[in-house]
Amino acid sequence: MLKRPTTNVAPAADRSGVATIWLLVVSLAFVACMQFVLEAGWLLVCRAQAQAVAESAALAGARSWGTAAVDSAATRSTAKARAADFVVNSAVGGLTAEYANLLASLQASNNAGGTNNNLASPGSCPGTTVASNLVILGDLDSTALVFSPYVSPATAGRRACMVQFQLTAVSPITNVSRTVSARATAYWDAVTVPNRSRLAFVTVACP
Amino acid sequence: MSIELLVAVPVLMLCVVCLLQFGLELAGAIIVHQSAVVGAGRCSTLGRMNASGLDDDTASAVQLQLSAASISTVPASDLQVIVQERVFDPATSYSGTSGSWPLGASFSSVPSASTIPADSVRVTVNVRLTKVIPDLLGGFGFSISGKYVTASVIRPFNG
Repeated sequence: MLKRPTTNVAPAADRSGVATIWLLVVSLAFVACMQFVLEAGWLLVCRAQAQAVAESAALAGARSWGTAAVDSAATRSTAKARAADFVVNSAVGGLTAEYANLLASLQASNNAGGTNNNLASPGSCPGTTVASNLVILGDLDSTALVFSPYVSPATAGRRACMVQFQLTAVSPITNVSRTVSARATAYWDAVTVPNRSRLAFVTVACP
Repeated sequence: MSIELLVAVPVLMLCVVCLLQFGLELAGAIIVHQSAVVGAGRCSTLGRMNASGLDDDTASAVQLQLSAASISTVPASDLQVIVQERVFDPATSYSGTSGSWPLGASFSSVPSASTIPADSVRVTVNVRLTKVIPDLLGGFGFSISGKYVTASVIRPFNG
């Protein structure tokens, strides 16, 4: 007579509802994954847009300063205002209010009594991370690609503008506040004709 | 077991396809944004010429960028490039030119130009979504037909 093999599997009646629990667990995990993917995607698009805005602002600031006949506090203020104007008015992707919120802090980074109209050194000197919203003017060595915020440029061709900001926006997917950073530097190219402001990837030299 | 599988697999497949579709859409959005950046960069160096020349050159730069990313915009009615410039400083109202390329493509209305900073150009690129990504959800009743992806970039005149 054959013996019925014994297993550790519980009788079907005892397993009632297990599928529901599994469905619940898997659904929750899947929704979490989906949220992560959507959120990451939204942040990627925001970051690309913010970078384009920072680049436009830096180009505008560098051009404004570079084409100025004299390097004065007034022309530097104009250049900084021009860059800030670009950040505020370049709003895309439904983040108009978020970009507009940056205006006050960008304007506050203009110090008519400071070197290149920058805030007092070294507190506001940009480091490797974007920690605050700043429009910074400075001297750019276009060969070594070193940007010095606290050195007055000797010629118009060394005038450069750096724009950095942190954009805080509420995610439409998770309703959580997220921060996107962007930074760009442009200098006035007075050598190549037609003269233009050009973007540059630079190292920042702080005192 | 088989019935559970029959119910779960289509749902799971739909979710996976949704994620795939979103991922592709995202990649497409970034490509279109990049093409708008290139178009605005080109347009900013051309500045202040006649509107038709501006539109053609800008659209050409946008198309080249899209082609490089394997997005075919043929026929041209699948692509709309809107060029808006503001040349007077200060301007109380929009005083520049506004053109849409090609003239036949008008699946998106021209956006308001009131926020464009003075002496600047804005390039808006609209591309039919079906040209950017495959219509994976069409079979499930969620077709992307008729929808488009848009990107807009402002640049200062830099010519």
